[in-house]
Amino acid sequence: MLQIDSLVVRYGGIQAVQGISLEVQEGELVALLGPNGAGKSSTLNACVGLVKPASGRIVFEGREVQGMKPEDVVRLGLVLTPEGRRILTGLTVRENLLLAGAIRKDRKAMLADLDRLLERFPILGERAGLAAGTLSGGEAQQLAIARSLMCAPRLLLLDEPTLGLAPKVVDQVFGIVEELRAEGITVLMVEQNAVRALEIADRAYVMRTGVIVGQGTAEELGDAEGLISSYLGAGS
Amino acid sequence: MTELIQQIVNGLSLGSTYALLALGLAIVFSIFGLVNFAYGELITIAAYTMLLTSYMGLPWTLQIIAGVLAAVVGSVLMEQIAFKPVRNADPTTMIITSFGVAIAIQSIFTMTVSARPRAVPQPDWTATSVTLGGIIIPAYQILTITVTVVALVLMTVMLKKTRIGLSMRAAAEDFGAARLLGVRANRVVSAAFALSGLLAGVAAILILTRTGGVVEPTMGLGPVLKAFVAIVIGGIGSLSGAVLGGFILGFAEVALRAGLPSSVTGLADGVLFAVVVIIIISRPEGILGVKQRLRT
Ligand SMILES: Nc1ncnc2c1ncn2[C@@H]1O[C@H](COP(=O)(O)OP(=O)(O)O)[C@@H](O)[C@H]1O
Ligand SMILES: [Mg+2]
Repeated sequence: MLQIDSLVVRYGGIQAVQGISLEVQEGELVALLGPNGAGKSSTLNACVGLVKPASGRIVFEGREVQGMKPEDVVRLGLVLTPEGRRILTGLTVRENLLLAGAIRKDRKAMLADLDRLLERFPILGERAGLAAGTLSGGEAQQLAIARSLMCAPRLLLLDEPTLGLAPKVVDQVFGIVEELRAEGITVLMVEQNAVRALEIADRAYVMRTGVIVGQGTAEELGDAEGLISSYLGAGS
Repeated sequence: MTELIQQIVNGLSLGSTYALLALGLAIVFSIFGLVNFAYGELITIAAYTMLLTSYMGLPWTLQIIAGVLAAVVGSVLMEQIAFKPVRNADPTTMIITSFGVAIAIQSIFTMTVSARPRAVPQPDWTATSVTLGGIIIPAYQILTITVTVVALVLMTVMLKKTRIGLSMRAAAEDFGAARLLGVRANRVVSAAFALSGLLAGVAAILILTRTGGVVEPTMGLGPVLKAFVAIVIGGIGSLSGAVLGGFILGFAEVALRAGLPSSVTGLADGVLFAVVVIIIISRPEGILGVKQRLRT
């Protein structure tokens, strides 16, 4: 569904991503792991056009998307929930969702989806008319994911969805990700919490300083505890 | 008492014009991160279009429609031609570009028409006035206040209730996040410039009714400076702040003119600009700094 081939991302002199290749099959939940600064966000951002790759190919459902504009990529069903959530705090919760749904052609179905999401995430339903800036971290993450779902994703890219959240809320977010997969949405998730991510992922890639240094199924990587601890730091 | 009410009406009227002007400047800033100093030239473009159409013998209503359209088109073209290439440049580059555009447009009018002022004949009613309980309100002031109230209401409805308004508010807060959700960058930027031109065009109509239709190549300079002062007062990047800043500026100017001895009323502008300098020095990040969230 997604193939990344020899992707290079540069910021001025820094080569943040140094020619990585990876792929995600339809229906999979794939984790992209690695320490801070490994180039994980740069990889996801390149997929959706937030940064222009220096070289390499990104193919989504048979179509080259590298260098496309973010507003065009999202219309293909390749949707990023960005790091830090980037909730539009001056808009209401409902307006955040409506904005995302505006790309869809069938407005009736879109509004029905919106109602369904407000039921599925009851806290968002309660706060629908309030400014999104009033949400707590966990609530904002729910809004960020719900907003991505309004874009009718075929492949959802999640960048550190549990960053900065309380442990209980982290559980909740992992629960939501598992549900998404169960609903048939393909997911590529960047996570710092490698152990938890490997529990729910089918496969994982391990990135470090711009290159992929390990990959495999959860079992394969899980067996190689040494690999995880040496690349990611134990105890995470 | 009547004197006070008279001055309040004067302040409302002047403040209305400044509020419209400031709003037009702030809208582009909130989305594009640019203080467009060529904004004043949109007023000039509208005014010369009204002059041209009056030479062509069109009635006043068609003149003002043509003038507003010209300002809208001029604003959108300005972005396409001059600002798009420097979209990702630093704020200083963008501001210098806007000065360049302003000078270029002034020169075009100087060369093709004349450096000397011309007059667009205004309808007779604009020079009349209404007397209400001893207060004399010129018709142009009634027009100005009414048009401003209508424009502000429409603008609020547009931003709050329409899809493009939602997109604009989103883009003003976080352009990248808005694009991730499908907001088309080019479309919101064009919309912001179009609205900016619309407000400049409407302000041009009001300015001409007040001045009796005087048109000259540098006529945009005063208004753009006043608009800039208003957005600095109101907090740059905030739309409601821009409107508020416009009214504060209008009232301050009227109060200064009323309070200062007539021999030094020319100092009023000097005092206002001194205040702005103080604001800029005490809050420099407010001027060239990162754009703030668009608040309605
Ligand atoms: N916009 C940027 N400008 C300059 N350098 C950046 C930018 N974004 C990321 N980097 C650098 O690129 C490297 C990879 O960053 P990132 O992709 O965010 O890693 P990760 O998401 O794995 O933490 C880091 O060294 C970071 O400092
Ligand atoms: Mg990151």
